[in-house]
Amino acid sequence: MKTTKRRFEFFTFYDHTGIARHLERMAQKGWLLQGIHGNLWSYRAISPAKLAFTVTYYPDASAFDPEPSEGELCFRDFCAHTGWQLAASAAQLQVFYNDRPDPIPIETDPDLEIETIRRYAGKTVLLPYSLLLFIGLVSTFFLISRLLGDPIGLLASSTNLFSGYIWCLELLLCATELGGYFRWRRRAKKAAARGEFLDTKGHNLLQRIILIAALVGFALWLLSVLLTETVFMKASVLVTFGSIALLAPLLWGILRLLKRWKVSKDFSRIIYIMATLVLAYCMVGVIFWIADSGYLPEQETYTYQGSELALYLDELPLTVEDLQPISADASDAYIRRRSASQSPLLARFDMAQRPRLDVEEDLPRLEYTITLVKVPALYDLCQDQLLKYWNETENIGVPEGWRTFYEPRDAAPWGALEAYQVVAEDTGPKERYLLCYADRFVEVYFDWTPTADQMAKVGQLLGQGQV
Amino acid sequence: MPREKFKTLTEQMFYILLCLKDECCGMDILDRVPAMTGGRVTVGSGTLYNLLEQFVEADMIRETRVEGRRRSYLLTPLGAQRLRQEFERLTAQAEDYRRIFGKEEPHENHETSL
Repeated sequence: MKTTKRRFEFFTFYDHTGIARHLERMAQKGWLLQGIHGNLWSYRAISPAKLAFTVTYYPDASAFDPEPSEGELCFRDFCAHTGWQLAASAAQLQVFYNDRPDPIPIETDPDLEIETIRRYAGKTVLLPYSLLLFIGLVSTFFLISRLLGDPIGLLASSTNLFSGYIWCLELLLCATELGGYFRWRRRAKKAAARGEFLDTKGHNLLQRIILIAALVGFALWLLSVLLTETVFMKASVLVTFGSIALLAPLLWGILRLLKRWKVSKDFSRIIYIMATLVLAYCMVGVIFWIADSGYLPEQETYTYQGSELALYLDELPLTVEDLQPISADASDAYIRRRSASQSPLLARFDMAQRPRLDVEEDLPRLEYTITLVKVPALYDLCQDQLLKYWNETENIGVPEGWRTFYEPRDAAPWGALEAYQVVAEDTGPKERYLLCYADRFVEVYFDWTPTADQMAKVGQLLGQGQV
Repeated sequence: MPREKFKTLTEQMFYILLCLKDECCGMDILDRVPAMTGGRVTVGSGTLYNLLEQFVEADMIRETRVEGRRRSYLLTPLGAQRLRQEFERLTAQAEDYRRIFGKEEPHENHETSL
C-alpha cells in the first residue's frame, strides 16, 4: 500500500483558507501533508481523520534560513501548546493541524492576521509580482503596437507569437493574483473593523488553466521550432530549455546542501545568486560552443578583399536561370539565400539570388518575398500592410515629388488576382511588384524589366504550390 | 482612519497585559487568559506571539528571563499606564451605562423601553 503521495498543488499566495480546506479534505481521505517543495507537496498516509488545519505565515523566515530561527521555534511552541502541530513549512508558510475538537484558532485577532499576511506578501510576493506585472504590461504594449504596425512580422513568427502569448498569460496571472490580494485585503479590513475574519478566495482553477495553456503553447512552439527553424536555432532552443530543466533541480540541490552545512542566510543567498549566474553563463557558453564547433553543418565561404564571406547556396523555387539563359560559369557566381519565418497562421520566406562580391561580371539579380497566408481571415490584413509599406511607411519624412506608391497593374500576365508596381514620383516605375494570389503575396524585385513570359513563369513557380 | 497603536486596547491585549502584572511566559498567558475570564476570552498562539513582539517594541512589556526558548515578560510602567488608561475608559463606559439604565438588568430595561 502506498504510504506517501506527491501532488502538484497550485494556490493563490494569500489563500490560507483555501489551502486549509484542501488539507482538511485530504486528511479525511487519509493523507496528511508532510512536505512542501515549491508546487510539489508530499503527503503521508494516515487513518482518515477529521483534522483542523491552519495556514499561517511567519514573515521573518526565509527560504535561505539554514534552520528555523529561535523566534520561529518559539512561535511553533506556542502553537503546540494549543494543540497545533506543524505539518510542513516552506520559508514563511507554516501549516499546522490540530486533532482537538473546536481548537482555539492560531489567529484570534483579524487585524493582526491581515498585518501578518501583509508583511509576508510585502517581503516575498508583491515585488516580484509587481515587476512581472510591469514587464507584462510593457510587453503587451509592444505586442499590440507590433500587431498594429507590423502584423506580418508578428504573426509569421512562432517565437514572437509564443512570447506574446506567454506575456499575456503572465499578465493575466499577475493581475488576478495582485488584484485578488488587494481586493481581499480591503474587504478583510472592513470585516476586521466589525471584529470578523474574512475567508480568502483563491484563483486556483485559473492558475491551473494558465499553466496548462502555457504548456500547450510551449509544446506547439517547440514543435514549430523543431520543424521549421535552422539547425543552430533548434540546438539553441534545446540547450536553453534543457539547461533550465537541469538548472532548477541543481539550484534546489545547492540550497539543500547549504542548509545541511548550516551556512548563514545571507551567505546562502549570495552563493545561490552566484550559482544561478554561473550556471546561466555556462548555458550561454554551451550555445556559443555549439555554434563554433563542428556539430553544425559547415558554412561554405569565399574570400573577398581579405574577408571571409558566407557562400549561401540554398534551394530557391525561382532562380534567375528559370527566367533567362545564364552560362554555367555565371550560375556558379551566385549566392542563393533563403530565410524563413513561420507560424501556424502565416509564413514568410525571403529569398535572394545575388552575384558574389568577387564577381566582376554584371549579372542579373533577383529578390522576392513570399507571404503565405495559412488562415484566410488574415488575407486582407496582410494585403493592407504590404500596400501600406510603399504607400506610407517608405514615404515618412520624404518630401512631395520624391515619394513612392503602388500603382495597380494588369494581373493576368502574372496569373495573379491583383498586381501592383512601385512607382517613384521622380524616376517613374521601378521593377518592384506586389502580386496577390489566392493564398499568398509575392513581392518581387528584378534588376531588369520582366517580359510577359517571365511574368508567367513567376506566377507559375511562386504563385502556387509548396514554397 | 487607522487608530493610534495601543491607544485603546482590544480585549485580548487587555488580558495579556493584565497577566503580565506578574512575570510569566507566553504559554502561561495562553492558559491564564481563559482561566481568568472563565473561557469567555481566548488568545490564539499566533496572535499572542505577534502581540508580545509588538508590546516589547512599544516598551509596554519587557523580557525578564530566557530559558531556552521560554521567554518571560513583565509589564513596564508604560504598559501599566496604558492598562490603567484602558481600565479607566472601560470604567467610564460602565458608569455611563449605569447612569442611563440604573442598576436594572439590561434585558429588563430593554423590554421596559419597548
